[in-house]
Amino acid sequence: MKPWAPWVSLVARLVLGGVMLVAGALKVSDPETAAQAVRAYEILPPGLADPVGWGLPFLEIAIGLLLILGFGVRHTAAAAGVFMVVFIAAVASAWARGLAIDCGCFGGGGRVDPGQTKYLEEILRDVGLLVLAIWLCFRPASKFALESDPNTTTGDTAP
Amino acid sequence: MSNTNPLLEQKKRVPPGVVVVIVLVLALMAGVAFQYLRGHSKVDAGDQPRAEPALITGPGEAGKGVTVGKAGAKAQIDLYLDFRCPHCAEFEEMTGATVDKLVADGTATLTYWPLAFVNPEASPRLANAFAAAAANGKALTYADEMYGDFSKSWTNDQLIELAKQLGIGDAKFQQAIQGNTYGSWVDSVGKAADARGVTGTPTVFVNGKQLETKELTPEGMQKAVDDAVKAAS
Repeated sequence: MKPWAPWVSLVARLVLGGVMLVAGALKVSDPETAAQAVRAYEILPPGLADPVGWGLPFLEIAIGLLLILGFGVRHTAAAAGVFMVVFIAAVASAWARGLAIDCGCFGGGGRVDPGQTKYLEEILRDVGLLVLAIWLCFRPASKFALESDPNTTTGDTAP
Repeated sequence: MSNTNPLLEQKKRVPPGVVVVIVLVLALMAGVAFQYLRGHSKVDAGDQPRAEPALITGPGEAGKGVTVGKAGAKAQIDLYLDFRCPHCAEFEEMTGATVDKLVADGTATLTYWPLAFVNPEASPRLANAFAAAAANGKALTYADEMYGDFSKSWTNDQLIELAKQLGIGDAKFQQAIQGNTYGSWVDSVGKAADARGVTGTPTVFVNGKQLETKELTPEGMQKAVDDAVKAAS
């Protein structure tokens, strides 16, 4: 293994986990806004959009914490990757359908003025995070993780 | 890096994947618990009753909002709001005191146009509850209380409990909540708003002139009302 790979994985863990944690924390105390942000995509029926809006922030916080602590990195990164794919698909779909909404990724969300959409930035950011998630799936071993080598679960910390 | 200590290897450890799944399930359960609390948290209307302006036009007249204040005021504020719209809650928190004062001292009358589009399940329910409260002369207080605890679910039970604490939660009020008595009125208000070209909430008109988003501040509201009073006198 290349000596720098665990350091790259550490950065990937902290960036991806940090973004997920912040995104979840900003939304978790405002379920009404989060649910509205999901409804604004007009993808899920209202009965399903509300629970997704309420539950998503809790999952984001959990994934963020696991990544920052460095536990079960490969699986957690896979889950984060699935989230990113779903987010990218949702934003792209809103863009393609000509909706004018904020992604609601970090709170807020809902309709905005047509000139104020930031679809490209939102998608590029999520693609960047997806790359980090994919990296972690293949190189989960990193510095300063609870679990030094995810393939052999020793319980040791990295030296 | 590859630490393969045979002693440690012999210990049966829960695979991290399983732990990850357990943590995620726990997170979802936390979400469900939080949701339960929102729907069952205590209603507290506070001890200090708010100054409630007099009712000029009550709910029920198709296509007409609920108007409060002192008849003959020179300024008229039209407020299009949705009780589940986060921006309306912010607007209410920011400008509520200014608007309440303008209404209380007879400078302006205030018309509530409760719309019901933000949350298809809750918005119509809360608009109906607001109408029932307005019919009992508690329009402003009831609206303030709903916005004041915005993260609450405001289930029907919580809506009735709030009315009880405000002294208006009689059987008739409960019937209005359970039976969606003002549902058709809420629909008519929505149609009237569409006809006026209102596309979002909060939307504010002062003497018929729509305020821009940047004017939706205490200073902006005060200035718009002052200008309207000047123009009218």
